[in-house]
Amino acid sequence: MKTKNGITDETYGYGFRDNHSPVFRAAPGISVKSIREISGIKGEPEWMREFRLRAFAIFQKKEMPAWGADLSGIDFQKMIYYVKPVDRMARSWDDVPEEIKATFERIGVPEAERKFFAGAAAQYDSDVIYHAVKESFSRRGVIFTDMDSAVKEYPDLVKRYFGTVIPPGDNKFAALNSAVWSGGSFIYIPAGVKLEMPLQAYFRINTENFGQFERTLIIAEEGSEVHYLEGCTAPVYSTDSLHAAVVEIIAQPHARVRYTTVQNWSKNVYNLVTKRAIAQEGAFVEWVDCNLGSKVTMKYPSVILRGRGARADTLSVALAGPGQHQDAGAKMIHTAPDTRSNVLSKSVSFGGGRTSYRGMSRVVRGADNVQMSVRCDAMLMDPESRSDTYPTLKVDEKDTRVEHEATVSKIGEKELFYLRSRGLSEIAASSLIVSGFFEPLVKTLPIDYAVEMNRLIELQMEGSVG
Amino acid sequence: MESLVIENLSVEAGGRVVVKNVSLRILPGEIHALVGPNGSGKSSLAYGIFGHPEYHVMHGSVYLGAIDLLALSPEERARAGMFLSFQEPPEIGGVTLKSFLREVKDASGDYKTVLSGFRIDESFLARFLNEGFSGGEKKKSEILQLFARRPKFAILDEIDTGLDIDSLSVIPEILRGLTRAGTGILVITHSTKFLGALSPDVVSLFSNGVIVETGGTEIISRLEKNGYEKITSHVNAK
Repeated sequence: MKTKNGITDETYGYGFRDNHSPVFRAAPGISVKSIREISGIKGEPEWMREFRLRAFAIFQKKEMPAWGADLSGIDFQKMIYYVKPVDRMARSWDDVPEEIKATFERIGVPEAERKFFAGAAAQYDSDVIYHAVKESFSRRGVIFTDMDSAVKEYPDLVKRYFGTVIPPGDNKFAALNSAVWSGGSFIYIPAGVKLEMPLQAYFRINTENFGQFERTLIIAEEGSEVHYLEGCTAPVYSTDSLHAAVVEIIAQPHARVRYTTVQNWSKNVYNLVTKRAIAQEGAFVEWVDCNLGSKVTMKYPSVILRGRGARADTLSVALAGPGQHQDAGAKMIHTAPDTRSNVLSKSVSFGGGRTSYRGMSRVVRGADNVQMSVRCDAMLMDPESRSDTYPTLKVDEKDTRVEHEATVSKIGEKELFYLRSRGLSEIAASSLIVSGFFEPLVKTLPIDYAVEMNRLIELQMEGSVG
Repeated sequence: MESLVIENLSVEAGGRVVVKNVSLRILPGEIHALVGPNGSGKSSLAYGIFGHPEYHVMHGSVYLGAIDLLALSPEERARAGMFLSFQEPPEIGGVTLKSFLREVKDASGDYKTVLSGFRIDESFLARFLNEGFSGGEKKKSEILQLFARRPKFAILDEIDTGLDIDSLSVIPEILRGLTRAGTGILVITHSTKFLGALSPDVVSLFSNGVIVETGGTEIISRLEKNGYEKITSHVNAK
């Protein structure tokens, strides 16, 4: 099957859809009425409904971003904002409807969960349809549930933190998410609890012309540790889908949070995500952000280093092939002294694809003895592809150490010929060069994910080189 | 095992004819040395044989046994049993030498036998392929890959340059190990000193894109005495 972008099902591998019938499917478009309807079906408390309506008013007033990627293909009134797949969330894969279960089996989600996760969640269109956390962790007070359940079960925690890191007015898509959000993860790690195994969430779009708006909130109490890993895929449709998530992280003093994303949306998805963390005294936040799929991605994971001695790392990797624009980056806002941040961005453009690094490094007055480092390495596989760097640096404190380095390398015939002379095909040779280039990120992943990631890179290169 | 037979090969690169009507026959288990001054077109011949995209074969043929190599892609030539060691191998970041050796290894290949001769340890294998390698380390990496591939026929382009004396001294012996098993080798070099130690079966003198003389090791002795200038200018003038 060929789509307008010339991407075949075979090279994407996740482009299939299933025929599951949802229990509720909203009419296309967004209005006060439709938001009330969604909130009503969810049986939400009054305060959340009000939050949504306030956000919708902001969304209507906010302009589309005038910078970044081309978003003119998005038609908000054609989009379906809410599709409820099942009546109730399952705690065991046996209770998940057969078609949906088959989809996740095909992607390998339940198997990965058994192998190396402390807990797992699976979202299908608007709702989390499966959620489980190993008992040894829940016994220690770890909460890992979907955001909708959290609103009802942990209203105090949600009220205290929800929308505090990313208020609805932050940007147009954060406002849209705040108005129509559904699903996502709620994670609470009590003080001193360290999760040796990561938590996993998997996001799957099935419906055409659909918007997925999950909302994730992670609260890591003092001295706790957690690694959260999310993946996503969608069917290949000839029309566009929208994914506009909001992720908020609160890392309390000396907590350590790593958030890893392996984004592999099909090439008809606009991926416009706002991610931000607050790092309190001595806390350490890491964003590991990997963008392989989507038509357009605009995503700049941020950390506000608010407590003395806080640290933050962002490792951003992007691969853009034919018809793709990955506009990714990082923001580091230093508001406390003795804080340190590192950004490493690695991007590869091939087959006419486009990558942009967009970053902000900010030091406010009073935050002395700050160290910031930004390194952007771009690789171009052919002359048709493009890469740009848009760094912004704003430092209001003299006692700051800033390092910025940007490199662009062109992979030429020389490297490819060398590898081919050792028996590697052109695709295998290009994939090896790309995987090697992404090594700093790949080595942070659990081993099965690293293998999968290298396989995904090879599949993508096949779609173009072959 | 098969012979490598090159007939009437001409190669063009960057708008210049860099190899002119070269014919060579190299038998299995034979070491054939191609000697000549820098810039004489020795590497161009190697690239032409292997199908480098910037080196175009104008006419001629290259056969490994019955296989028409020029009809194959570079990777197919490698899989047919050919190996080319590069004068200046490029750096491939993020891929450890060890994992790469595993990736390119032939079922019969074994690079471990050469580790001790070069005093190579695990820390060397854990480095990224050729990244930050010294000239000599790059050559060691090429030889490890040669042994991992176990080719029927190998072209070694300036395998001696950059190597320290100790490593250089073990090369003749390990190459003989390969030829005893039937591998044919074309050694490209400009060093008469290395050639003396290697004592190749056949020596061809190369200058300005053509083979000016083929013979035995006596060519090396003459080169040592008179240098390239005298010999090649004498022949070219004829």
